[in-house]
Amino acid sequence: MASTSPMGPLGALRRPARLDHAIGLLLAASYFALLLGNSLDVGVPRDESFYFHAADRAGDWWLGLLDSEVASFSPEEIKKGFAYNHEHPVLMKSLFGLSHHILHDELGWVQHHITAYRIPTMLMAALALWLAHLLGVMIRGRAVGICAALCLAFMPRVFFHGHLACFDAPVTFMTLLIAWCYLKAARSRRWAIAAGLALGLGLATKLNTFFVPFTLLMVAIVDGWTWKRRHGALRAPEGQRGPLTYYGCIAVSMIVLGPLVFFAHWPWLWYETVDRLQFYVSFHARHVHYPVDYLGHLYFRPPFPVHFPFVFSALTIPVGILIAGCVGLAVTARSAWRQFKAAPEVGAAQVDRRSAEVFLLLCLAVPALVIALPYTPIFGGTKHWMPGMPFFAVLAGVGIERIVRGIWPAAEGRGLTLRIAALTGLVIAPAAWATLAYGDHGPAYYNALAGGPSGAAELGMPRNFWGFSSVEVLDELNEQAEEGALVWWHNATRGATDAYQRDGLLRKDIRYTGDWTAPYSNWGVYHDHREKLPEELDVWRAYGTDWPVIGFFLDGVQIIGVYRRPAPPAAPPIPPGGR
Amino acid sequence: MTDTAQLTPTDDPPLLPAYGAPPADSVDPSPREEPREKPADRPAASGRRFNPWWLAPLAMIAGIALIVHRRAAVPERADWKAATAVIAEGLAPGDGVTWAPHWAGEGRLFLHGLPGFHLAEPAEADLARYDRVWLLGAFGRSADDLPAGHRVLDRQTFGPLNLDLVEVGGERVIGDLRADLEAVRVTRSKGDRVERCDFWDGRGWHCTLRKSPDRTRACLGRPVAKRLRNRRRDPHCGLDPWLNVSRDVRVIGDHPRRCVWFHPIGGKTLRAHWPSAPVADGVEAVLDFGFTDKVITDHTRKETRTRPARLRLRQGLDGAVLGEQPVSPEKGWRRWRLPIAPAEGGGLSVEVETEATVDAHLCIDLTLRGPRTGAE
Repeated sequence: MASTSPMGPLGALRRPARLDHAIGLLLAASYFALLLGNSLDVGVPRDESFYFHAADRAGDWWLGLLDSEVASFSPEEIKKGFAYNHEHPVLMKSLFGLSHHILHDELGWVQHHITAYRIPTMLMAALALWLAHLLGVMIRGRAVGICAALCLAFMPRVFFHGHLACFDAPVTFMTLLIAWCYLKAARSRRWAIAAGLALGLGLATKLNTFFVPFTLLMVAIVDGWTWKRRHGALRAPEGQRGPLTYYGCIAVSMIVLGPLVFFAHWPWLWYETVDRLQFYVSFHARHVHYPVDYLGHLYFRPPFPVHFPFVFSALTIPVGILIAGCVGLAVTARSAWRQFKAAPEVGAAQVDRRSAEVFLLLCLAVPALVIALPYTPIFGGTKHWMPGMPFFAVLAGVGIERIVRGIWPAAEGRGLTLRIAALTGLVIAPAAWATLAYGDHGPAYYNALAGGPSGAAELGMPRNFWGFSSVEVLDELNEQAEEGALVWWHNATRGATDAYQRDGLLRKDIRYTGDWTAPYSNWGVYHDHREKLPEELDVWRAYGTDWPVIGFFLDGVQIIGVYRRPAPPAAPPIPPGGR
Repeated sequence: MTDTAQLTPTDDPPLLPAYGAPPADSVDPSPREEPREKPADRPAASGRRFNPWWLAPLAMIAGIALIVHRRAAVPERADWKAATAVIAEGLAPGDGVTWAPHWAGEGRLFLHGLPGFHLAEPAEADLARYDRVWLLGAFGRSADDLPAGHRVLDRQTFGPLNLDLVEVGGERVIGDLRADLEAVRVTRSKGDRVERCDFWDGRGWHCTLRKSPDRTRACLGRPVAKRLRNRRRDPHCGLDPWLNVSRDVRVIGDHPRRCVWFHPIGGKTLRAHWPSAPVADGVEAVLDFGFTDKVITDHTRKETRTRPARLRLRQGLDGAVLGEQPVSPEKGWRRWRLPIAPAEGGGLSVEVETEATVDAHLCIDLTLRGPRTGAE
């Protein structure tokens, strides 16, 4: 009998009201508008240019389903649609492609190709705010929810990735969605189905979500253990439902629906399934290690430093959010630990908090811990543990509330709300400024602890990421380059320059010479990476000058240097004694 | 009651009051309810002791102050431009121009036409090539960071940018292999068999050509677009891109080093005879050298494939050996100094040998140095 069943251990969480949903959606809509308006200020990184190409192939395949003359399910059509870039699942690529086709090509609602591809990511980045808000509401209340959403919105690196037609912002959203569905499913069997579907969508987005069920399993174990302490047995009394029921449903759903959705969404796996799955798994299991510039040391191979994700996070989350998040983390961890040690007789409400706290802590920690393993590839920087950031944002909300209550213990009602709002302003205003000032170049952003981008350069931290910054020099290049100029674009791919040209950001006559072609170019666009320094020297050698003519500098630190060959090549002279 | 209805138990009040709603005063399962955190227990409530919770907003404000302070130290592009304009006006023969820190390179945009050079670490600066050095110092750097022995003649500021004019003290470079490379004779030999490397490609000397010298020269002089079209078929105009002796710049010891590419070949002796080397009494040879970081540490292999090499300095072309220096396959830009004396035949030779050619990416910078005199 449900009416007599006691609450599950997670049952003390609040239920968001309609107003909470409205606030969350308003925040999400505002963020989406901000991302959309800023789209062309964020350049196209290497991976994104590949995904543009893959997106069109995948999008065409899905649209082919509407065309009776296309044998969409034939191996040839599937190969045409999905063979390219088959190391990643196709949910997002399909959405990018469909968005581009429908919103740009068909309807013409979105003027620029680049933006049209990016809209699904932007939507998900925005919806992540909504979910972070709801999570905050569930765990601590509306104020925490609002703080959480704002903190997530104004992390410059999260903001940067929120633009790109890549998988990192979407997988952050998906992780949050899975976690959200899990929380709901922990007290409603119907939500178990949603949890399984969400996992499937997550797996269809990026491999990171593979770790989410294990994280949630740990939460379930703690929750079940809590139940057992309170009730003396894991099994619920007759006629009641306990964690075994709920988590059993979630487990079945995730085990069945997760892989099913994953398999169903990816036509590439429908033929030669074993071989293609094997490739997919082995590609990521044996991923090549790219160089990592970290605290003045260039790492080319493992073992990588265990503290990498933690130090990197400490230097790249705006200081206010970082402090609030650390306070929230400490408060939450301390509370979880106290209740873990507490006798089972303590108030049920207190015990109820534990699993929610463990949930937050584990969802934050696991993505970073996976990267902290010494043999995990860490070339992507912060984006690889970005799925933990919404949970850090919720903890920041918890921290803000706790700081206010610590400073003004007697504050209640409107006075308390106002104080929370004031502290939130102190946290968010500088973060929002940093996001607007540096968000277009998120990977170059460092907080006050690092001393900003220039302090990070001093510390020997990286400041670039695969070619996106070239967008900053397009105007000057358009002005100065001669007709048909041959440009070596370094990390910016041909796909990226094609995208700029299609959207009118780059003159169409400017030519792309290819990788490692500095000697065969008249212009060189060097993206500052420490491990790529030899390629900048290739330009110096080929052009006979070390000095750029155009540059993009962030706080005085070179992000892009554009070189111009000072004089055309000439036949070398014959020195005395030479032939 | 359905499953979902259990989400909000009726006895579970909001953790925080809803906006505009009356405050909650019943059970709050949040950590603040823990006994030691009740308002009555907090000393801060008495106002007599500092409430440590204030540290959090204070730290946030400190964070803002830090970033404001840091940004105030960033030179504007106009500052760099103005400072380099002053340099161009006051430039004299024997001057060099550099900047610090090396990562603050916005001023490089304005170094065209100036005798600029890279300064990896101001504290280890080797300024012996110059009489005076203009140092553009950003983020608090200045000539004060240079090693002792130099004298600051003038200091100007352009916003947060320092411009120091430094009179260089200590030894003076009187001969530079890199600068004199056109006059150098390069050979490689094995036993009695000597191969002349006498084709000059504009940057260095080559031993082997796939085409005639004239056709190679014509190829090197082709327009860039044509070179690009022929890139796959003939990327280097028939020249060996590795086995040559050329003016170069390479990343060694984490920084760009101006040097002479001096790639040894397994089992052979590579020799550069510098006939015009200004050898004289009291002159010292200073040989900086190192394998490129790329082959020593900056790769994904477990170990470097580079084998040890041996550098040798010799009087004249075939004269007495002045000294030998082992080059171990380790990261770094190393220095070898030795006094030299005039000898018959004139000049100086530098030789290198190794047991294996693979990844023997050696670069050297050989200078001759003497005391600095007023006439220079």
